[in-house]
Amino acid sequence: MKAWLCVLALRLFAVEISTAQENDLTAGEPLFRLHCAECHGMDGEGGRGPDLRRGVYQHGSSDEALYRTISKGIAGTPMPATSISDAQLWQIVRYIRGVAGRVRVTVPGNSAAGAKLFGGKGGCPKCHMIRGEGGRLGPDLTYIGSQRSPTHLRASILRPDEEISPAYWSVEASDQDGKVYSGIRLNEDTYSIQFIDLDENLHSLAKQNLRTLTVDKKKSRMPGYGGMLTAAELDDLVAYLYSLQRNARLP
Amino acid sequence: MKAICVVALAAGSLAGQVSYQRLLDAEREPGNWMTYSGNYSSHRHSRLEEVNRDNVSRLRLKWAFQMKTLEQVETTMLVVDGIMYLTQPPNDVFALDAENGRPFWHYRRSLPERINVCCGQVNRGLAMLGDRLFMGTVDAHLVALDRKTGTLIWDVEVADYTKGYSVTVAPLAVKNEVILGISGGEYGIRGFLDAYDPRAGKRLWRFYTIPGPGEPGHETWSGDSWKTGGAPTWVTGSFDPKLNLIYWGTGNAAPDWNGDVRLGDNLYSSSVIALDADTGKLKWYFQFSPHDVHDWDAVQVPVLVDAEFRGIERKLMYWGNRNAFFYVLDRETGEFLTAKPFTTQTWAERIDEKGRPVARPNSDPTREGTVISPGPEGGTNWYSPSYSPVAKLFYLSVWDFASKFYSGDAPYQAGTHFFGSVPMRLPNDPGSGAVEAIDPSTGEVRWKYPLYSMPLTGILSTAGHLVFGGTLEGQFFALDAATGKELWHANTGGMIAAGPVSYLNKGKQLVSIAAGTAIFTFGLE
Repeated sequence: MKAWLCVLALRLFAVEISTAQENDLTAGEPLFRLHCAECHGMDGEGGRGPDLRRGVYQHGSSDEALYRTISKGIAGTPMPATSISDAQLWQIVRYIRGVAGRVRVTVPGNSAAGAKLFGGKGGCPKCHMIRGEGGRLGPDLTYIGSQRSPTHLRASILRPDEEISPAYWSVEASDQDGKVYSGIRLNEDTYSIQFIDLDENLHSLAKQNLRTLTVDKKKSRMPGYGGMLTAAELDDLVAYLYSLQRNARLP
Repeated sequence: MKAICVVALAAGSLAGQVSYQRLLDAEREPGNWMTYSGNYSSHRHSRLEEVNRDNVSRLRLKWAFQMKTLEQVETTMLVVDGIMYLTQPPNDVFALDAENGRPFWHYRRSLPERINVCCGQVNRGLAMLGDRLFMGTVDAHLVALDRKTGTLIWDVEVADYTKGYSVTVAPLAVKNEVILGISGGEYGIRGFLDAYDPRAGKRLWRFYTIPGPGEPGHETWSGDSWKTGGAPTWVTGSFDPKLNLIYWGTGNAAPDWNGDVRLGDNLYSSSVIALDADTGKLKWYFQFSPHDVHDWDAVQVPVLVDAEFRGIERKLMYWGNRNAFFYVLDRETGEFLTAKPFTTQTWAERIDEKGRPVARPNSDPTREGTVISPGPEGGTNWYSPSYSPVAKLFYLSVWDFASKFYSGDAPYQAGTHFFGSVPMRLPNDPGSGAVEAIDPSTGEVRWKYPLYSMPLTGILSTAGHLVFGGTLEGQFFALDAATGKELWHANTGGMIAAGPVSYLNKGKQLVSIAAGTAIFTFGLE
């Protein structure tokens, strides 16, 4: 008798869950668009934030991990904590689950050829590091394929000024002795500024000792590659960058 | 029975006790810091002048006290007769020797698992009356502790924390009452201000900041929206003993960014209320931001000053509001006198002669998003301002930034967030901060000390012609009160999100500030 009741309860529970999930998928869409779309794209295709359609995620791919990521944010990245109700958080998780795998992401181009371009004609390692090799002035690209969509990668190569993270703003400064500094800003407060110069030396200077100081938020030190690469080369380079994926854990 | 209790309270050493008379005369004993804002007029001004603009460069660390907490420290310390009392968030209390920071006792409070606070389990400080300390808790209780041992004397429930009520405000001891506000404007609470009997914790009166059916102002809420309309009271107010009025700011109407579900002015949200101290009855109100849809709480500290305004000596109230305007009101009547913006604002055409803002077209949140200055955190916020009767200037922390405001659906569910959307800062435009000095006779900004980041610091002014404040990055600084010139700073290494205090220890002036999760105390070398 007890066992029978138990089975009945389980069945009822299962039915309830599946209806809730369906409802959650519709409920999750406007929430996703409000809280997530600005970085992850209107349909989760990615933008400044990772493409969510792949179904595997850097910071854990289980429902619980997604819940944690959305509610707490990810330290050291622009992903903020989201202050919404538990129910709404789960609705977003369900929505992302529904989006995942709906579209197969394919990129044209040859990633091996792209790798050659990256190190050769592109001159990218001068500023970008991959697995510990390369320069320090631009973003580390080791897992860039997990972090950005192909569309976003293409746009960044062609039009780097369109979006510059505050972690890569340019600094130009000169001190009282006339010494001139150029670099990438690392940190700043009311009294001091920290930056890495173009020869990769670290500086921490008191603002009161500077004669001039400009922080350029609009112009990237990276050139646009539109005129330098053919359409096919651009495809290859995007394919290579997109192949730089973290070995994500499956859910 | 009453008589016995009075005798009992008076037993033991009188030094260290804080009587109502001492609180009334707080300005006569600048060696102590006995209320959240330093005196009932909330000047956060120290009459001490040993540390002054000529010697402040010799200010050095005397001691530090490290807390064990993961929460942001927003506490203002009380210092009475050589003992410092402070809260460690969420709701622990310490008594320290003000000489060296060594603790006498530590009150530990265990809290339920799931606390509903929008913005961290914070606490801004204590009130003291007689031999007792009073603290509101994030699970919406009020507790009384013995000042010598930290022993819990009573503990009463203020409201149901599972419904989104919490207490983060420092209470205010007035006459024989402990005045306490409530938080929860992001949870669709119905706000109120309470008074409690310090002896046993009995509630003496409650004023609902949202009028119920049949009360004047109820008609400013459409439908049942008054039941979940917010209007919390989470920053300590002020008291005028001669007028017998308590002044307190009220927070945003709920849901924050969707006004369509609560049509009307939404009284008394985003207002200042003046209540009779004995009965809690409303004497007058003034609403800064009618039908607020930007989360611009009016929870700033009311600063009370008797001064000439346009040739007439008046009882005034100065108010640097989150909506980016500095207001002067008559505090006897609530009459609006003047308002001027002190930072970038793009939402109001002007403030009319009655004090009502004339909004610019398209300044409300939309589904697509509307960019407005200031952003939701406002031109200033809960960070204590200061008024110097010496310089006759009003000092405050200022934010200059914009945000994109969205409107969205806001289904109410008790004990969960009731927002209507979430505004976004503009990418690549982090905004900037400042400390400003406003001349209250004109509303003009006299000077501005620019800060790299938008500050969370309270301001302390002193008779030594100094203004103290801190940065988000942890530098504690002293400025010339007349000119805003920086005279000294020290790096504490932790975010400053609290108000400084100054007091005497063994005849020497000290200045203390909470930074990061520690208290730092400075004095002349």
